[in-house]
Amino acid sequence: MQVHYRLLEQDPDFRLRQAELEQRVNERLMAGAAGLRGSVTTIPAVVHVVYRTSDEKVAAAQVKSQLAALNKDYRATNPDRSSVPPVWLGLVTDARVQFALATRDPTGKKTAGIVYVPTTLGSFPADDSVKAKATGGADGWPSDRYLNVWVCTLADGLLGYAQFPGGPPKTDGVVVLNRAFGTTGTATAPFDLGRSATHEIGHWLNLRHVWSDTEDCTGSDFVADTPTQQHPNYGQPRFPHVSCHNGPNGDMFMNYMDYVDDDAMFMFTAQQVVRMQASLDGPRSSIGK
Amino acid sequence: MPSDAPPDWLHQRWVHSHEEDHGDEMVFRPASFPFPPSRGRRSIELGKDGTLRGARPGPTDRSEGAEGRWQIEGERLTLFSPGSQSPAQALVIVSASADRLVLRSASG
Ligand SMILES: [Zn+2]
Repeated sequence: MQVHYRLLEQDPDFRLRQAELEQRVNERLMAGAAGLRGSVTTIPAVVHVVYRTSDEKVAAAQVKSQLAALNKDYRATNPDRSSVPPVWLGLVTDARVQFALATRDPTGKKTAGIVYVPTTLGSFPADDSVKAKATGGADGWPSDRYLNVWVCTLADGLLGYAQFPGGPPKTDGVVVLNRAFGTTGTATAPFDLGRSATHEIGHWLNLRHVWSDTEDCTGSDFVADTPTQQHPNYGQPRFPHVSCHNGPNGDMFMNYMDYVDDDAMFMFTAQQVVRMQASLDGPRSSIGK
Repeated sequence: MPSDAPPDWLHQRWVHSHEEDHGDEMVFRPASFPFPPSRGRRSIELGKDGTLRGARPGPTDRSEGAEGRWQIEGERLTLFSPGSQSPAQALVIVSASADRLVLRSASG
């Protein structure tokens, strides 16, 4: 079925900012430029834990286990990167991004970077309602200074959703299912290695799915070092999985931007890192240092 | 599956139970099925009047919908994009019951 995709974001300014960012990425790729940031950018994160039951109130240790997982994945120090097929090992790239729980709140007060917010709602659909107090969730902190991470029970078993750079500030950030957050506590296999947050923050840094959100081999994820791929892959695929005439190596299903299980995704590529760094130099230039 | 009169239970929203896929066969279950968590699922709703409501994970993992038409001839299920006469996806019904619909790509 040729689903006619349109970005949810109908805001013309958002489209304009996205077009500007694509221009910046293209210039980078042509020039082979490294970007404006220093060696590694540290991004302050605030985790809004929106809960009704005690199980949903994920412990600080579980939040910290998520940060630790992110800091391996985004520095390409995750031990399972050695499971990348040899043909693509050379593409495994350090994103030069790390994350730290915020130590100051927006007013300058000391904080642990974790906010617990009770709710009366049993679950949240993927409609941004968890991102506002008025709709039973938690208001975000200023998105030009913090990465907002909302952790809650999502409707329909969804593991998470995100927003690209340049979008509405009030809803900027990522949402992750509590049972798929971190690597301890309530984190449940096969989504218990923190990779849902790795994937969603990839979108937050402007990465597209490796199957390009089209299913007829005509789309692009705007990076040249991931093969064209027809569908999302699920579970734990076996290498090689060929689609879109991309043999002999097939889909790069072990990329964080596919839909496989947590223990089957291990890498960002060099050009994905160019995209992420370009977003940090562009629409996200005010965040982190 | 009879070609002339699809049973009433076919006219519901079928959600991709990708955990149950085998080879090139895709398993769909009614929306009420107790699905485990997923990064995103495709669904198709085959309206009795021939309208199709499809949904897929969008670019930032929220579900995105689109409408079209569907048609069954024999064991072939064809899905059409809105306003298009050419089939967007040609499928074969491998098996069908009220709680399990198995499809594969007609080209594959
Ligand atoms: Zn995604």
